[in-house]
Amino acid sequence: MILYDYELSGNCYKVRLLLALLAIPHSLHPMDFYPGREHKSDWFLALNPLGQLPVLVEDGYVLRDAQAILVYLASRYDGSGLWYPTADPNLLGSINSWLMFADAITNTASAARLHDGFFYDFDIARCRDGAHRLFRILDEHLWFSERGASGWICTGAHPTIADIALFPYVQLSEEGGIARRDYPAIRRWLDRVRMLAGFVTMPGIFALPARA
Amino acid sequence: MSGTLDPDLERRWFPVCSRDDLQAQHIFETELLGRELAVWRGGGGVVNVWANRCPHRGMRLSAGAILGGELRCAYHGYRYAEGSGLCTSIPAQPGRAAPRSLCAATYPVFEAGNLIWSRLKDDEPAGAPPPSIAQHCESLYGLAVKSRAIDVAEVLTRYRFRPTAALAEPETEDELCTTTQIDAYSFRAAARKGSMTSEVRLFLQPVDARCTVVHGILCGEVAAELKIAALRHHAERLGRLRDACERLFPARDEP
Repeated sequence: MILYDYELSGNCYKVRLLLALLAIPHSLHPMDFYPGREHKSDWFLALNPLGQLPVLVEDGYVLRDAQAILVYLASRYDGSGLWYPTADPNLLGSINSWLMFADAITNTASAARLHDGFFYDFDIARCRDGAHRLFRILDEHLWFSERGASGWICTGAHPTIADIALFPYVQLSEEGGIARRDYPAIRRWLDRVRMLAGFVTMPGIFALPARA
Repeated sequence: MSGTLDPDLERRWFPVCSRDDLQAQHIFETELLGRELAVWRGGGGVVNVWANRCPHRGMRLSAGAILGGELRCAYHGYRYAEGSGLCTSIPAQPGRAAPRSLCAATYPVFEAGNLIWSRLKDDEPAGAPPPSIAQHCESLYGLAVKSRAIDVAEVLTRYRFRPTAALAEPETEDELCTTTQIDAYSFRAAARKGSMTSEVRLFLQPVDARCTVVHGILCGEVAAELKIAALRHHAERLGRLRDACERLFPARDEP
């Protein structure tokens, strides 16, 4: 299994995070996303015509889109069935609605980070306003989740791939000038994710300090 | 608000978070009148409201860790004791006591009505304490409004809600609700339908010149099966007022 990967990409990192949490053996193919734009090269466009990272290749099966890769990995390798439970239609629907939400966060919070850190020509005010609108919805959702059950994105005592899909660009938001001061429930949830057994980091995302 | 503050405002008690916000191992961060705060509950159960700056190198203490009754800074591992804020150990100076002068900047703490209250200046012990609130109450979802406190206060007098016990029934004409402003930062609201009543208290936390948090308390015991419906009802109604307030009074950059 090969993951076409960029170390500083939150969408690549969410795949690396699930690979680590599920202890799935794999190899990484590092891409020169910035400044080399290798993801727009002819050879890579043949793999993914959208010219986006990450891409996963396993035994000739080529899969693009971070959220789709999370679905695939959890369905294939998570023996517990807890990360992507398919038996409960309501839960399955909810998880997928939050995977779409993660994509909306990519289009706002991640875009703001690309603008600030990678010199992309985006309307920064629009990116940040959009992220704040989504963070507001997420914060209230998580506040009620803390009262209903576990504090994870979807109901149930165990986190799902919805948590993994949302985590990176929310945790990296400050790199795009999006402060989380006004979202206490989001901050507590970020701590919960960082406390998961097997959690791994990326540049800009730190493990919780070790407890004595 | 980062410059000189009105001393009366600095002496006033404000809510800075709900008790529910202080989860184990989590250091809560917020601002009061533009001053950054780290709020945490240590292993000894003591609630601490501190300036969110390590006195050593200025690192945000909220990035650190709670170790029993101490907070450890994420940067150089300096540890500060709950309650006093005194530095207890410096990893780079093993075997040597930390200087007595090294201390986190602490603010006074008062717990009332499921809220944590603090104030920036503690030089007038006789200042009015936080209001007395029923022992049994539920914290509502705290809303951060991107408007000044004075503008939020104007809109909040329009707060209308329904008694918790009536939420399962359709809204009817005979329901009554009033919201009364007590002072610049607090409100009392009551809803009635026949014999069914609910009381809500609202308190404003002036975060900075552009943001105000509305802390709400639903007074009295709430039946477990009605709790979530009641919390959702208030989050929805208060959320509408927040949106209206931000349309009417958008936060502006102060010159």
